Amino acid sequence: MKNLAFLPFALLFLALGLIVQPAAAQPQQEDFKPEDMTTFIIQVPHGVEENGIAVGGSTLSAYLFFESYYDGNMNVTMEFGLPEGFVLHEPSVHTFSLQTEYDDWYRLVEFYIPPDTPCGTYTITSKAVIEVEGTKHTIVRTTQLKVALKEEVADEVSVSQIIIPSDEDGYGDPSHPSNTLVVQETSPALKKLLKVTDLKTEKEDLISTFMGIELTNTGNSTIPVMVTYDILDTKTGEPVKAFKPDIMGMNADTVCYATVTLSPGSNSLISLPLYISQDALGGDYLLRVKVKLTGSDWIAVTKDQKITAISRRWGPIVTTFTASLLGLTALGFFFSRPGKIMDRFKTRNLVLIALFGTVSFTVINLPMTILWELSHAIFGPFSFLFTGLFNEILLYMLIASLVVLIPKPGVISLFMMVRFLLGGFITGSFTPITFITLSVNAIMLELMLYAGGITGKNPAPDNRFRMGILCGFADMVGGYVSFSVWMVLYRLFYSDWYITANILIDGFLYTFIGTWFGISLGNRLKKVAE
Amino acid sequence: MIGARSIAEPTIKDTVIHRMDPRAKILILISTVFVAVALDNQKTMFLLFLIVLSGFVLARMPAIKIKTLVLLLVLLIWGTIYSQALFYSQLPRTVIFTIINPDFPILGWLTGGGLFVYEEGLHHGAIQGLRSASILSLGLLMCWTTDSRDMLNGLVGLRVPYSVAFMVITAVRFLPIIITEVTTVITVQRLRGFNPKKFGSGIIKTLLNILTPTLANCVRRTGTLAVSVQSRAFRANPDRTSLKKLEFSNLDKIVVAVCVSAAIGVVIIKLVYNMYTSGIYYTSGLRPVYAIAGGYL
Amino acid sequence: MIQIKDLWYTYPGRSEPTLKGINLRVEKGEFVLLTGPTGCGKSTLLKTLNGIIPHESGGTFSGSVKVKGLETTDSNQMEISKEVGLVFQNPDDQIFSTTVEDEVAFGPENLCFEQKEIDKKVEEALQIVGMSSHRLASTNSLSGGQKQRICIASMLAMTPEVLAMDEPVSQMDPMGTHDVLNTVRELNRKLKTTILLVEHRLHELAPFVDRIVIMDDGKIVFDQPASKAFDHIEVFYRLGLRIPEPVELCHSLGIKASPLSVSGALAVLNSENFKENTRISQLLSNPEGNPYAKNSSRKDSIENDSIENNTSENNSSIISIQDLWSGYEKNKMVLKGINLEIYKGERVAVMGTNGSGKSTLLLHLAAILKPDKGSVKVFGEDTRSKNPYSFAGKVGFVFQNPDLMLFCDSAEEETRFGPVQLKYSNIEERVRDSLEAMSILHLKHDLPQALSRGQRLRTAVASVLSINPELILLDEPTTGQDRVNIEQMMDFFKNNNSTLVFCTHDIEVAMSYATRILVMNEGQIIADGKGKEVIKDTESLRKASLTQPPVVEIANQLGVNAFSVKELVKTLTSRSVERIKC
Repeated sequence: MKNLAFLPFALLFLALGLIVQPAAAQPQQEDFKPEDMTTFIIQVPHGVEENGIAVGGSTLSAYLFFESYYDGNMNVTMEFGLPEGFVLHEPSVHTFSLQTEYDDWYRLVEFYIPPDTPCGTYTITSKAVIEVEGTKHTIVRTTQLKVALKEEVADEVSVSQIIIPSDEDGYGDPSHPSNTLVVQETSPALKKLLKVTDLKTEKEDLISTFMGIELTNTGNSTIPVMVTYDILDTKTGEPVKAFKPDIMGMNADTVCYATVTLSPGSNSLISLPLYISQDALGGDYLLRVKVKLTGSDWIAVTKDQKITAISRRWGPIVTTFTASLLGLTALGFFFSRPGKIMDRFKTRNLVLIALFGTVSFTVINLPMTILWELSHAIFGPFSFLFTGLFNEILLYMLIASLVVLIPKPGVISLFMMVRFLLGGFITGSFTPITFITLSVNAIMLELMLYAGGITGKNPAPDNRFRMGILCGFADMVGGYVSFSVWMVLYRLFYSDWYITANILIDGFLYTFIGTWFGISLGNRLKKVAE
Repeated sequence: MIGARSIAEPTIKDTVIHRMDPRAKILILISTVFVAVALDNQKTMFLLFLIVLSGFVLARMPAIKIKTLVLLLVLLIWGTIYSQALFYSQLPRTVIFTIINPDFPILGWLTGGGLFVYEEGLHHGAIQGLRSASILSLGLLMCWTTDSRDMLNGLVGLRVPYSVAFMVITAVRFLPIIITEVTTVITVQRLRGFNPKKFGSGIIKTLLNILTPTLANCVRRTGTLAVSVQSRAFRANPDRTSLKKLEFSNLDKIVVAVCVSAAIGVVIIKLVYNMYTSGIYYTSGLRPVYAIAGGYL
Repeated sequence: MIQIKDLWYTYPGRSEPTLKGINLRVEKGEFVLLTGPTGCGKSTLLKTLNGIIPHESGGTFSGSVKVKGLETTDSNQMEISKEVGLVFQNPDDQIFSTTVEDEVAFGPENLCFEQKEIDKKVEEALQIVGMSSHRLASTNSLSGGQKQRICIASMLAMTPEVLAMDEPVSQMDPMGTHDVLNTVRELNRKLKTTILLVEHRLHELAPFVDRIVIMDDGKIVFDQPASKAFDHIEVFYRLGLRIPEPVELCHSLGIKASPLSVSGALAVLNSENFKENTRISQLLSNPEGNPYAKNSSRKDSIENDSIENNTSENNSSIISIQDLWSGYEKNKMVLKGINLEIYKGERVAVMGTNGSGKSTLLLHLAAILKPDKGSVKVFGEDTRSKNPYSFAGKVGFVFQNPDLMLFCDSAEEETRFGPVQLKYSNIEERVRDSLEAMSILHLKHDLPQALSRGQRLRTAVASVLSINPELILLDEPTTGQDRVNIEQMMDFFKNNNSTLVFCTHDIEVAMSYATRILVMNEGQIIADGKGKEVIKDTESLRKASLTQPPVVEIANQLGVNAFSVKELVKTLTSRSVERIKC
């Protein structure tokens, strides 16, 4: 019903069209009026209709535009005239022909204003000679270009405010802290998962945001400017690549700029996009906004602002959170039924676990109190190859032999609990890191050994290979968790290669070796117990 | 082993700190841990560290303990500084020393482009080291001003099952004995011409050589100790009474209340602030909170 | 009080029963000594008394054990715990608390007594064992004897009517032994506590007990009142049990009496007035006919020592110590100005109470410790300038707990370890010889840690012998060991003329095997000389809480110079023969 209402109007337009068309064809035969039948524009510099401004030593582009409303062929010879001293980089005369109505021609003509050009207002002329059916018509356009002193321009233009981050219109958003960029990274594991499951196709992992820049023109001239920015290392002053990453193979400079014409006495707010690569480092940076006079490489105005980038890697945060939750849940589980759990162990089991705890403290914690730092000083980042002998090989020798002696679920948790409390009582290390690491380690080991049939109803603690692998995996998880906790709760940094090497060598290899020999040790001890 | 003793043994004195209920100490420690982990502001972290250190003054710690504390703190902070100098990953960073050149074969590749010591990392390590330093110092203060059995009473008072407490007491009690045994085991082997410093596969042998006699002794001891405690009706009854009863003094109550509420407050404020900076949640009403968190915490 | 009927018990995983039809009845207030050779099942029997066997251990159990009419298998742990207290050999393995008070309060707490009641019981128990002043002390700071008394107190706090003790003094120094035994005796006398005590140091305990029960191979083979027990002395010899010296003396003299103490023996000797002189002279002229003479052969050696001692002094000095001061803490010196020369071929016994500095001295001899002041020269080299382990191979050290020395997979490997590390030649020969010397060649493939206590000691010694060290140091090798093991080891050293320095609490072992005895007290050597000289120095012995062997005391009282049963017998008989002649 609604559509039918338009029908009469449509018919009316159709009829009008049929009537008007022969009428429009009429002037073809009549006199050609160049001003009516064409548009001829000159902008110097490009974008400025009149009263352009420039400084000596800049290369400007003049914009020439010609459009025909004549339904027929026309040949145009365009001559571009510059004041004396200005240097044109290309021929001053262009010839072209326009075939139909609305056909147009335009060109950006580059010219150079030498540095020694005297200040003053110059007139730039462009003359078009139009030839229609053998008749020549001439149109002349002129425009003024003021050549000013640099100081004069710099005084007139200023960056009054930088808002970072901002919305896409350049306005600040109070829900985000100012001068702060958050570099949030998806965890490598999650990325991989998304890739494998095809949920997310490979695309460049860029974080994008905007910054708002407010420009003020206090002068009388219209000033065309181009605004760009750089994010610099505060120490070296070098631009940081991660904040101007290549975007789809293109240099970010081709995207991250804005041109704007500043009317006399005006304030303008513009926004610029900001792309950050995910591997950008956190820290303090210097944001430098640069305002160039269009056509000139000369930077009229710069404004620096200190910004802070916060690198927020979700992987470790989520890991830490999950691990803490897991630890607390396990603790809650234990506290909800302590009697039931403890009754599964004979008194001699409890005593043995306690004594193993003491031995672990003696051979691991005590030497490590001093050796840990000392080995760092000697072996540097490769000290884990040494400390792993204690923290993994010795520890897993103890764990494996304890499991051989008491192959019950829960034995490792009790052992870890004794270690934690003993460490707390003796060296005061009731720290969240020990709590989380030990509890996750205990949970992982318990689950894996139970699932692997090492502990449980028909325990088989003699399978060295199986137990070695299971403990290795459990310790790898524990290792990753402990690094995450260090990074998140203690705000420390670790390189990816370092974490990987630690997890693979200490977490898996050393653990495997420790478990392997721990089982033989356990079997020997079993004979002693008999 | 004198070093081990000066770390492990509590001092016996009668000061405000010594008199505190062990449960109060444990709760204060836990609260402080939360605060220390939540803080980011350098000055506040330093202030916290100073407050913790003032505890040592109040507890009138003897010189040997102070020396031990200083040694442990120096080691700890040095460790943090050293690791952060290597792994610092913020800008700006200034290389002051190259450990592995990026062009170095294999290692250069393994380390993902070389290994350097960064000046800013040293600074960062020193600041972040304060966090662990506060936690460690308070932990030590607690250990050094509380007898381990009081601490266990404290734990039992905080509902840790007695069986667990029993295991820990046993572990603490046998510590000096086992330390001596391990030392003896090492001496025995060295007297028989063995040099445990040898690296490589020999190291596994060394570790096994140390563990075997030590653990075998533990296994033997286990039988006797278990029978001994059983003959004293251990776990014969689901409940048990206690000779020592812990009581909170008014001061304890006040200090614990202050610490716990401060911890809860700081943690909540930081949580809210982090949600704001991560763009998860913002409300203009919380602006003063954001300001406090950003400025002081 | 205790009634055991036809008790059979087999440990889980074993085929042979450990207890084979035990029948035993103990009355209230009795003090029963249960003895027998190692592995006879006496400790197992004790564990059945409070139900740990079979409640905790599992295994096959038959027969009946009743304590105060309560059948242990039918009662729960709580009930029996109140009736029977158990005390074991090594106090260090029984104490789990860090303070005395906690340890003693543990039992009453488990029995859910009221706070006030617990406090009272702790105080009373500590008072009985004489440890009230140590109520708040750390358990680690106590001496061995004090620790064992705490163990007893922790049982007494539960006011049991029976106290079952498994070798409670075998690891004590003389002072500790004295303390503990006196405590037990007081308990029995004053509180009428029934005591069942397992011990093979029969000679020290016999004077205290009412009854002696001997077990062998899981059975009770002997059960007599203490006063009559030694009338059947052949049983003791057959089972290798040590007899009190006064008894041995009387029997050697052919006197039909078994006095258990020095005073008793003196009384008997006085009353007998050597009437049976003729018989004694007959016996002595034909020692083969004397069944007791063979068994006391150990004492003969003392006579030969003086000769060896003389020869050794001519030899070169191995150890030379001058003004040695040493300590673990600056203001607490353990050794205070030791001067000592030890010559090749000497066997030096170092005696003294725990804490007198014996072990520290040994560590200096092994160059493990370095002097704080003074100098120690081992084989002519100043230890201060040497690496602590540079004497490895030259010095062999057997530690107090030989278990800590065993870490290999077999006894053979254990003995091979040293020579291989020191890159010696003819390793196999050394291994075989040392295993043979300790008579454990047949055990060479066994896991050392799983051997019996005596075998473990022998393995540890063999592991040191295979290095063939020039100096052997033994730190209390006799502690907790059977007499047979000790003798076998010491005989070997003696026959091989090894240079030996050993710490011991056993004055008889020292007298028998040492060419020289050092007595230490508070970090100083207070007596140094031949056994016979030192043993007369009662003042020094007293300072070191040592007492003369009963036979020496008897000889002294009789005004005779004798240091062994045989010597005394010889002197006494020759005296009486002279009298007859007159």
